[in-house]
Amino acid sequence: MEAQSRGAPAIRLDQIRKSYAAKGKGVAVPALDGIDLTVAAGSVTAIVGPSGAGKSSLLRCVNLLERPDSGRVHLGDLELTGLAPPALRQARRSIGMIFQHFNLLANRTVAGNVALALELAGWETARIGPRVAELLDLVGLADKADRYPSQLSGGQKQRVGIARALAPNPGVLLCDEATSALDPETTRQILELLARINRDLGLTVLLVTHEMAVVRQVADRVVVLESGRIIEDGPVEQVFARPQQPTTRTFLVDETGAVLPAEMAARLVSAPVPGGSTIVRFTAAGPAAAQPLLGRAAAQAGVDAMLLAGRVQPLRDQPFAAFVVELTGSAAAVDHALAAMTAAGAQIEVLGHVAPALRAAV
Amino acid sequence: MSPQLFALLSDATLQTLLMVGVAGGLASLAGIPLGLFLALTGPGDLLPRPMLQRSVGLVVNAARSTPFIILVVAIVPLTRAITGTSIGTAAATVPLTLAAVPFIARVVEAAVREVDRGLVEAAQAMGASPGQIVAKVLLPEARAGILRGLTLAAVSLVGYSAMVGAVGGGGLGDLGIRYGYQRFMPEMMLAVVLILVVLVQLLQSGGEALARHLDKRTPIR
Ligand SMILES: Nc1ncnc2c1ncn2[C@@H]1O[C@H](COP(=O)(O)OP(=O)(O)OP(=O)(O)O)[C@@H](O)[C@H]1O
Ligand SMILES: [Mg+2]
Repeated sequence: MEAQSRGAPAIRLDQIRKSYAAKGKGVAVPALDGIDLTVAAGSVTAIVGPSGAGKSSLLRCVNLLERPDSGRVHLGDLELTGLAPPALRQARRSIGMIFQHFNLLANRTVAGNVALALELAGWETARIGPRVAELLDLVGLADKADRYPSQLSGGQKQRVGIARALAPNPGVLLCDEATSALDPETTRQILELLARINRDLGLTVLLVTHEMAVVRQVADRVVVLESGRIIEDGPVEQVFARPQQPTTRTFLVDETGAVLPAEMAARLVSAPVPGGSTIVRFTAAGPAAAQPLLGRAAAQAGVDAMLLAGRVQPLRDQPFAAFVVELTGSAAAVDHALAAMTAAGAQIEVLGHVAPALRAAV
Repeated sequence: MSPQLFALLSDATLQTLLMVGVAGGLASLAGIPLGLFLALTGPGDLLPRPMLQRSVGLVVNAARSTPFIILVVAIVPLTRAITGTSIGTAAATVPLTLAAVPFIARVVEAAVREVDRGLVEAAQAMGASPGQIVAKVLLPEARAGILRGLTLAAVSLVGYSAMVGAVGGGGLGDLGIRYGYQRFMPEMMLAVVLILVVLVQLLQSGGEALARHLDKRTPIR
């Protein structure tokens, strides 16, 4: 399939609903509850959300491994939900998919596994060999062509999975927790490979993950799913800097490290304490994160700033800062400092206040 | 041992091998597709036909729970119709085949069901048709399990073939009964048992070696 021009919708989901019949009980639980989602060609979209939110169900609805109860799925101009089985099989060849547990055939070599995708797509035998070699090159496994999957590491297996998915030149790649079975370093390498594929081949990537780190490293856009509904959706920088929903915040805090130490959280009070200090979460993306904004604003206002948690890390080639900070000073000075930070582009969330005695104790 | 007895033994061994081979081969021809049918058509399977699958399953179970010796007697008319006689090696092959078919069907079904569903899904995601899934995923991935099941079936057939000997089926069992028991020649009985033991060992280790060779799931050998 021709890679579509960037920006045109590659995938369009209209009002997707899906429930699974609950075993025993008669009630069906809705796993997807009216999902509308348009994915732009050439983009990397991450679907995140708590376990059981319906992420896998949603992804599997795209290639109709799971048939929605109602709603439509479009791939480019093609309505997949309206296709007869043979036409659907044909269409699936332009949608690659990779899996958490790789799903490689144990009794085929690395090359054989990649070749399978081409055999299934009806390629002539003569064209299969060169194409397999090309893909193994792309994923850096040219020297492992004759190994069996059991002789590979997890990261190498996922590379085979990626090569297999890309073999018939799909326009879309679906990834369900593709790095969840891998260690952090291998995850990073696989994500780099996915990013490179997206960049060089213009492939549209739709990925499911429960790790914000994955989102931070590869995604352009993040869609937050909860109880079968999209609760938040936006460019990664925006969602990271200004999460609107508590679920999104919870997810982000794990990734950004801007989490208040538990012993301190227990002593937070909602009203300012005379002589005490104010605890805030400071988030900034892009230029605002690159400057020594926090320290400067505090110093200029005559406020003492102490870093309690958090870090600066890259987000789509830009710095992204998230801290939990304790600000000590007069109420007016703290307000002044916070106003200066907000004016410079930072997001400030006041978590609460602590009594003065606490500072010595912690 | 006299050359005469030796000739008897080697003839009987050949007959046993022939019965096991022919019955095993014919039963595989029927049992493998039947097992595949059972594995593919259950509820939630690739080509669900739950009602039909259940009915076939019931017949298979009924055949498996019929004691072999009763099966031999019960199907005498069928045996006659096929081979023209109800005694001898050819006649014995009929009940042997019939007993092995449901057995093989069940072991093949089990082996095919052992294949990770994730592989079927991956193939479906790649646009595979049910036929392609069977040919390129299920059978190749289940081949070691199927082979182990066939080995098991062959070993059982050796045992059953000795049993049909008791009802005039020829082969080693027949020899053991007629000479070893009825004419009281313990050395003949011993020789028959030894040959059967060796035969089973060879089948088992041969089948296992081949299955291991075909099984690429774990690199440890
Ligand atoms: N085949 C199925 N049969 C019955 N219920 C199912 C099935 N698949 C999913 N569900 C249910 O649908 C809901 C959504 O499941 P889904 O697998 O899509 O969640 P998820 O977001 O991918 O979760 P996880 O992060 O744990 O993988 C869950 O409540 C789950 O129990
Ligand atoms: Mg899931």
